[in-house]
Amino acid sequence: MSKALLLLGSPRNTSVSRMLGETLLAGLAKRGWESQTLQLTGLLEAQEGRARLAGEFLGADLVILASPVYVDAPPAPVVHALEFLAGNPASPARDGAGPLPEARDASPGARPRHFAAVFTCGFPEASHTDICLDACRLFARDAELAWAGGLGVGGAGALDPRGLGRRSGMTANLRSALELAAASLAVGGDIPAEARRLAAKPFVPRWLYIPMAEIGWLAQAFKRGALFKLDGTPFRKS
Amino acid sequence: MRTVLLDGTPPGNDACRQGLDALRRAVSDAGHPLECFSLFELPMAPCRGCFACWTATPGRCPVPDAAEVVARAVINSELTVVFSPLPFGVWNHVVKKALDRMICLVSPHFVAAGLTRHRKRYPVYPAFLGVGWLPGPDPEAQAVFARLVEHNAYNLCVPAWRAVVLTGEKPWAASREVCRAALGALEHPDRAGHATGPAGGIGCARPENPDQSERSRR
Repeated sequence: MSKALLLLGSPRNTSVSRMLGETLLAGLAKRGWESQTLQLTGLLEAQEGRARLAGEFLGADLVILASPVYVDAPPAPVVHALEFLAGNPASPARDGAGPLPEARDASPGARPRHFAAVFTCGFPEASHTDICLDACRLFARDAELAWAGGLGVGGAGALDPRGLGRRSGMTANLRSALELAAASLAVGGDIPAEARRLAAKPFVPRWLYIPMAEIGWLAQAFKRGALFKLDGTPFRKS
Repeated sequence: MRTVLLDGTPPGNDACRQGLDALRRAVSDAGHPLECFSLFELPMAPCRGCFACWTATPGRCPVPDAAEVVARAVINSELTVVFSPLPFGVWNHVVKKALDRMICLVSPHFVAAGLTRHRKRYPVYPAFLGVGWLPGPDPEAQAVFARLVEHNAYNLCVPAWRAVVLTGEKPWAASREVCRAALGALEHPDRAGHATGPAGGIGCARPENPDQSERSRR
């Protein structure tokens, strides 16, 4: 039975990126795949976590990273994990040892191991995820994995992290994208261009998304007693 | 120019440290007073994605560690220089940890002109110099890095920016020269224009909408 590993980049226990990653896993499970999920935040701090990450990574036929975009790139714990897995010199955890040696299987007929990614961002444009997906492509190159492509999803603030079915009309394109991606990944293919296109389609137009997001910030600030301090400049030298 | 350097040099990587040394010498040659943060030595937790720095304690992350000292120094500088090896064309994890914790420097509100970004929190932001280090030339990683710095500059609302990549096989003096040229362009942003700099540097006087500049490059 083929095995998929889902790596979660969000530090939060419930997140849109986790929900999208799990939806992909469900699509693979329907096709007979088994799976494992690891949350990356804090995982590399202990030897046990590093061993677990390396073990699960080496045992997977397909590795999927699902993560939000933080400041134009993957969040720090994601970069750390990718450095570790690629044996990058920037990661002292493995002392620049190169790709995990067991990851190389040059035997004739060996199935290539694949890497795919799903990135979400809170800006309405999916193009904010492009740099993250390119970095993942370079990770796959350095870790000697086959890059199966990625999905970039903008306007993630409009999604419910509890599931895509909860706003089913709005998420029809994204559900189709994930289904197309899962079907292709399950047979060792790449994420199709049509899936990427559907995932990048806005759920709501920008003129509607931005006021909704602004109301969200104001509501959150109201609950936290900071509504009238939102524009504070605490670090400004007087 | 009051300069803050965020240094992501990993301990024990002497080749990368040479790049850092060339950069520091160039800053010194330019006569800029320098405050340096060696990020591998600073206790700093990763961003936990709670948005408290926007909606609970606006402008300040509630996690009490070195990130606040770094963010305060950055916003009160005239030039912020970030130096890091480039795993997969992006900042390494320690630099990324510091940058992730700096979202408190912008406002949660959106600006919808061009590619959406967050509104400024402060009236003035420092110029931004991104310096990446690679053991050898890697055009794909260099291209990703150039776009990353461009996006960082756009989203951090900086007045001028420049990106350069130093490579391990180049002599130290050449690396220093690349850094000097980039610093010179940032000192005179009106003369920087939008140009390809020496040895792989790119830059812009004012951050453009990255979507537009990507289209114009195609």
